[in-house]
Amino acid sequence: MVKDNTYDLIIIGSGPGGYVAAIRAGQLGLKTALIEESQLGGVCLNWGCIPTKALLRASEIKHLISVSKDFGIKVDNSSYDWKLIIDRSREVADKLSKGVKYLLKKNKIDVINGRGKISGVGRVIVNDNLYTASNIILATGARPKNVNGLLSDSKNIWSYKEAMIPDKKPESILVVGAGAIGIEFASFYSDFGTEVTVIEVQNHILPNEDIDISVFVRDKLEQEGIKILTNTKIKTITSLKDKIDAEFIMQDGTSHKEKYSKSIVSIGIEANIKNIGLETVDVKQENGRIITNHFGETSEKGLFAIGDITGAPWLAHKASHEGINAVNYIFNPKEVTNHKKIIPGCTYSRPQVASIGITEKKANELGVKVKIGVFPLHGNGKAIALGDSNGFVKTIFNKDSGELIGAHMVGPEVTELISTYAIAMQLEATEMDLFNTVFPHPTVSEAIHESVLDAYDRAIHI
Amino acid sequence: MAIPILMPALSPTMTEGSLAKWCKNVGDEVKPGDIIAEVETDKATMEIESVDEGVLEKILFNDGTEGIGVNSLIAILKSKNDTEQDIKDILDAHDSTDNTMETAINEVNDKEEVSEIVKKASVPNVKNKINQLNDANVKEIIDNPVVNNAISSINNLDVKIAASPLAKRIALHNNIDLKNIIGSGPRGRIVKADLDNYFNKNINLINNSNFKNKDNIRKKTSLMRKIIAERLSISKKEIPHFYLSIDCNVDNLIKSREEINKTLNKELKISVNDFIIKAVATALFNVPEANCTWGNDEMIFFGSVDVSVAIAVEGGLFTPVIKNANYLNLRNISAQMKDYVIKANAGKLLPEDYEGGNFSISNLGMYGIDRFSAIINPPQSGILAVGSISKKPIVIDNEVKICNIMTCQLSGDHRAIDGAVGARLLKEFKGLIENPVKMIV
Repeated sequence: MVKDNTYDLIIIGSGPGGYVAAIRAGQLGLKTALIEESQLGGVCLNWGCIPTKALLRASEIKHLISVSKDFGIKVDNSSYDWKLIIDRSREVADKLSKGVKYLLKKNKIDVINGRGKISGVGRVIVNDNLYTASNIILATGARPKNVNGLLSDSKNIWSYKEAMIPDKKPESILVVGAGAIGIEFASFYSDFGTEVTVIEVQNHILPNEDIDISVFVRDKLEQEGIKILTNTKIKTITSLKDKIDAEFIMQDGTSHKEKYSKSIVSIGIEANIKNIGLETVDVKQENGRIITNHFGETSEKGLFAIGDITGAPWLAHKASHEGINAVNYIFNPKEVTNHKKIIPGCTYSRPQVASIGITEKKANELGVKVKIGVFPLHGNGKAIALGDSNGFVKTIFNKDSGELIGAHMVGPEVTELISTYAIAMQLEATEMDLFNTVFPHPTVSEAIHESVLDAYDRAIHI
Repeated sequence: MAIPILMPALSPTMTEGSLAKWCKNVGDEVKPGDIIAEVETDKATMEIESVDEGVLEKILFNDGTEGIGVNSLIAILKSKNDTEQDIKDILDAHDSTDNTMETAINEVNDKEEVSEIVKKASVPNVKNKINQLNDANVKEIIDNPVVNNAISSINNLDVKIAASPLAKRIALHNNIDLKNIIGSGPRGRIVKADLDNYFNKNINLINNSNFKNKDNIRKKTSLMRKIIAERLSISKKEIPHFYLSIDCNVDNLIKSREEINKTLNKELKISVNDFIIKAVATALFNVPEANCTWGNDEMIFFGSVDVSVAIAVEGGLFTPVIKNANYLNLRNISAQMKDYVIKANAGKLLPEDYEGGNFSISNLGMYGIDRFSAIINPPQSGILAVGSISKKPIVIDNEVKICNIMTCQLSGDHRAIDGAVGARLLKEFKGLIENPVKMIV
């Protein structure tokens, strides 16, 4: 039988954008092919979100053991096996990658192994074979940004990938870039006793977060012994035999040299738009990202782009959402709503950070009159019972309309709590709807309610 | 059994309706509760909801068809076991519907029962059956074909609009009617972005108007406008109007009103208009020759004094009726009027609120109009046009005095009342409004 290389939809890239889009297409009965040159699940599943969460769980457990005596539990002679920690992280990633494989099979998706390249409208070449489809979705993701030649040498200068599979724990680490990835690694290594220094070129760590959150997290990390240098720019990193030599310029303009065992460079990512055949089609680009309409369609009809290649925020759940939205649009343009995408962001450091909407600073820049509520977790019963009441919830409303425009949280499991705000924002709840919502007791989520109430001077427990 | 769907009578005054839009196509499955079509009545656009299950077999009028008679067959719902013949039977039966209705109405005197039959008479050969009916078994024989929930919900004119809480609040703050907004959210839900769009469009309109003329706007006339147009055209064409005007010194009225209102809560205060209603009613009672209607072969002199009062609403006007106004005291009249104004603005006036009425009052005083000529509201024979109250110099006992003057103008149907009768009515009215104490007697 001659293999039919004609599809309703071809998706290039099997990350959280691509594989999710493929499953949705399968549900709708579209004949779909998914092209992947590496592992199913992409960076997120194999080298990003998931394995790092497995690592951070290990550091969290280590931390809990270290404070167990506060709970009346004595743990004598605790130790850890570095290799087993790394192995578990890999097993978790493998398990999920297999899960994706199963789901794709269940939804009758043809998975094609190889690098997919566009070759004119509706045409994709993989391993010298031509595949055609009336619709193509580009979901090729992104890679660490190459700035000043600070690229991984796989030995002493690490990207996120090397940072999650080292043979042994380094004595000291320089983390360059204090975004979510940098702060998560800083938190992880610090909990295992590595001496961690973080440098950030901007004023604050987690520079996309609300300033109150950034300041709070910095304070906590410094209490844990992490050295943080903001307004500091990296000049050079030189990889020596088994250490690095770093030179950076401090806020006052002075230059400093320091030696560390390793360096993790996490200074942003860039879209994978090169060498995928974009020159064969008419696709509008801007600042290294692909421009699409609200449904993911590029300037070339029938060619869609989702996830990291379409620009910030570079988050898995944004890619998944855009993927599903694009497939729904391909299937039936009339059924898709032109809704706003409100993307929450999470950082799984200790303490955790989660946020959605705009910051107080941004609201001020936009000239929006605001009402702000802040509720500290030391007023929350569950957090106190957990023994982790470090944190707070900050809620920002538009003063005129009562529109919920931003929420920022720091503390235990806040990454699980942010969805409450996501639903409220998507449904366009006002403060009154949140007042009227019953939050279960005792939960940390009650702090959301209290924070909302506080914005209108109605909080109960402060 | 195949089920006929008829143009429903959504209000007692409704004789025909427009088919605004079909919400189902031929061949679509219809489940109980599904909206089949939207019908425009003289008051609002209503949805026809099905209580039956079946497949929409036939549509007899296209979207936008106007002037479809009440109880005309508009569509047929086919059940599982129906044959071509069943459908044909309905079509045939419907040809005689007009006669059927007449027969039915003649047979049964009870008004409610008639409307019940008119609503439900849709079974083939209903004519014969109804001829044999007595009141008791009407309901049994006509086993609920397509009942229109819209009929029961006519009193509830505000159709539910899906909108986010935020969108609702923004609309409220900016005084925007959500009915004017098209929702882009799931299932047409109105979200903030839709209001933003609406604002932007309006801003663009304003901005553009500085540079160029606005385009003419073509707006389809509502049924309410059509009815106003039709009735007033007939009135002006057929009724030989004559006009009498009179100046009333309302100094005493203003004093009395102040005196009365001193003791009343804000929401109970009596308005000048309430005095006018009472004065007109009392005058009509005292001059019964003016309380009548022309009917070619006979004149009807009304046994009660029911006064229609015009209330302007967006897109038209309503004339709710104060019944037996001559027997009501000012406070009762005032309370009823306040109630009517609220209902009228909410589009919630019931047919019984505005049906009937022997004589009308139209008051444009609050707009600063000195005097005007109103058009008679048939089948009535008169309407009093009330102007604003303003201070004017008048001569009393050879002295010039400044008094509060209100000019009222009567429009009369000369077929029914002559100038002298009209003059007596106005004189009576003037006597009462200038000395409100007389109204109490």
